[in-house]
Amino acid sequence: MPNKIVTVIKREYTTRVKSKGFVVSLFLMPVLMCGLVFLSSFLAIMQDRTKEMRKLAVVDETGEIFTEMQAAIARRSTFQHKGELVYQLQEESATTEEERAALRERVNTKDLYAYLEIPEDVLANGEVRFYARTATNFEVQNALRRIISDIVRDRRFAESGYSRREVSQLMRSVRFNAYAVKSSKGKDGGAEVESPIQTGARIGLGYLLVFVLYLFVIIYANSVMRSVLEEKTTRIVEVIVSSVKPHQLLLGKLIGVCSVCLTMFVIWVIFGVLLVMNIEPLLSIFGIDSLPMQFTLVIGTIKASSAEILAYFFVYFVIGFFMYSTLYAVVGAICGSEEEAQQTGGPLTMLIVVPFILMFQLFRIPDSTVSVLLSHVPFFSPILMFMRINVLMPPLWEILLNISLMCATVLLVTLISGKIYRVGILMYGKRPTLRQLWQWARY
Amino acid sequence: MMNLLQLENVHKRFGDFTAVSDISFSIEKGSIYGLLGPNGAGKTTTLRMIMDIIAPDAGSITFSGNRHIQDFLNQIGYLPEERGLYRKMKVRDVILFIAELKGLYKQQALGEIERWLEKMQLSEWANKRVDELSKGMAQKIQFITTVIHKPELIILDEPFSGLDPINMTLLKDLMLELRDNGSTIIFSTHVMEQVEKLCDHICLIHQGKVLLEGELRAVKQTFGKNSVEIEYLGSLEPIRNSAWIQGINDFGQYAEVRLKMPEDYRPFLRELVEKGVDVTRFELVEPTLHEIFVQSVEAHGGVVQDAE
Repeated sequence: MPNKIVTVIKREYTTRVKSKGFVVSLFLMPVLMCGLVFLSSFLAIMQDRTKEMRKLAVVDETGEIFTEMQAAIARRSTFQHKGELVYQLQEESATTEEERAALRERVNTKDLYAYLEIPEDVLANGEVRFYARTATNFEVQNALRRIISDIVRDRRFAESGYSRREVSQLMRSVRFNAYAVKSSKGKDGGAEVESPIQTGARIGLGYLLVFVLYLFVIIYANSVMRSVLEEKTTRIVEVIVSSVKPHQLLLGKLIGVCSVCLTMFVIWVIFGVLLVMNIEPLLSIFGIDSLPMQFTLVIGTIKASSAEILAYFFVYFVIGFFMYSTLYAVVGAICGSEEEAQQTGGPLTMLIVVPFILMFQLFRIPDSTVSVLLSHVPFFSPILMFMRINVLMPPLWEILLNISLMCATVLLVTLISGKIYRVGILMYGKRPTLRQLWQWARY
Repeated sequence: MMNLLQLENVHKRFGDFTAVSDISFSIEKGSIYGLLGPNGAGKTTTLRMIMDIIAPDAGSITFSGNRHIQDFLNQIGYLPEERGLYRKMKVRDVILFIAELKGLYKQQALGEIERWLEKMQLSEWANKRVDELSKGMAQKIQFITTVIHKPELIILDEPFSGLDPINMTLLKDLMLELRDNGSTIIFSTHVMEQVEKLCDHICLIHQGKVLLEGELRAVKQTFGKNSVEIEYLGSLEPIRNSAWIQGINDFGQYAEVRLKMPEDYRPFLRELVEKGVDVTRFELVEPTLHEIFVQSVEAHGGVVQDAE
């Protein structure tokens, strides 16, 4: 006799894999991901350039800095567009508060792009003030700060009898690079050491995987919720549970949807491996024969570390998926409509959004007590523990403890959810209260 | 005759609400068994307990003398009152899915699907999506999913609701055909007329309790011929408060009248003539199920809110 859970899995799997949505995300997701990476790196290097002339008023109480500033600005690319200077500096005298207010008003009416106050005691410790309509134009601010600082420093040096050339020669900073010491053994018998580029490549891959994990758990947990809801609203669920136990239906559904995700990942991994393995012949097609050292290093790092990271990724994805999806299935079971389910599911989303946000701070302090404790909170583990594994491998016992903790949580959640689910799918009408849910869980 | 299904002293409460209270009945193999009662009487709860979807608080349900009904679910076909199909799946795939859940192998199921679709004249719809079907077609597909695995026991909860007369006849003929081929059918409804024509045995439920149970003919006989059918022209208003009658179900030109005593038909007929009602037909009949139901409820001190 055919196994009933397998029948449920098969339906969940084939209807999804055959759908247009699956094919579209299979191809579109990598494109979108790459697009996002490129867009953000493009935005990061994009400069605040203007074609329009911007007028910058300077109130120079010292009476000496303005002329030097004008010369310095002409040399800086920040203030140019295609080799033409697009910033026009004009000296203003404003001794009274009314005059300064008038200048600020001109900034407000866009007559001036910004206005700058250089106090008389700037050489001592005076504050230079920059007024603009936004204070987030850091690029212009930084360029101006550097220009004025250079001028002020030169003057201080001159007063003390040094030349700027001498001082900058003496004052240049040392070259400083961070090398991660790994727990694995290197060629020389000591611990292996990772260069900054290698670390960057490895962590970059890790970040990408955390992001994929986060995205897919959210998307497919919602898919489980909608699927439960569909069975409930179309009332087909009563026919199904007259042949299959509700927990079998739920389990089959979760395994089916999880397999859909894993299928997609496996296809991507295969493509990724093929790409990385054949990167040199591939690039030579485009006429690139000699690769820069850094690039070879990045490819080498990815080859060396991706097997381990991917293994952890699969473990944490599967456990995370079951943990969150079971909860979403319950939301689907207790609600009567898509809108109601979206509302009820809202707070659940926080369970995965919170660790995702925390991750950006915690990865700087991967072995602090806060990081360690938070990474063992079961619902945070799929993201935070996986982040720790990427950044600074925790001891094996900690990983094993974490995985058992998560598995125990999954079991507990499934046990309680299964009971609520069983009652919920056959209940129509008003959404149950928390008290009722508690009763259902104890049936 | 062997009992296929037996319920003994079954109880079910939901919180403070008693849905089913001390229900017992048994169903003979090869019969069409009518489970009757107004909406909310406890019919669906009873059926769900038979299907092991919910567990009774007390009492026992046995299938072929076996208490582990979950082992026999593949031998039961259940058409719930609230029904639907996956809207985005193809007709054949939906039926196949449910058939496989009921233990059929794919090849076996595919053959049965073709046979049933042909029988229902829906063959050309096999590759269409469910949401392209009309309501009546979807109902027929639903019926196929209920019987595709050749179940011994078929449970139909309000199977006729929403069907047009042609499909009603089709379904009725199918039910009789299935019975003749050895299936046992539980037919649950609140529409008494349908049961009267189809069922051998009935069970009347009201507010979770069994009011009447047994062979339809025997049940009717115990109520005696205290009913009269009349056809008339004009109005029945003059005799509406007649001393002889207990109840009246007036359809405008036709009425079913329940008399207080069987022998009251003589004075009642006289009164009709005296009050000038233009009677074109007057016949002494067995009570309809509807009347039996109303009487039983009243006898138990209840009030019937006319079912729809």
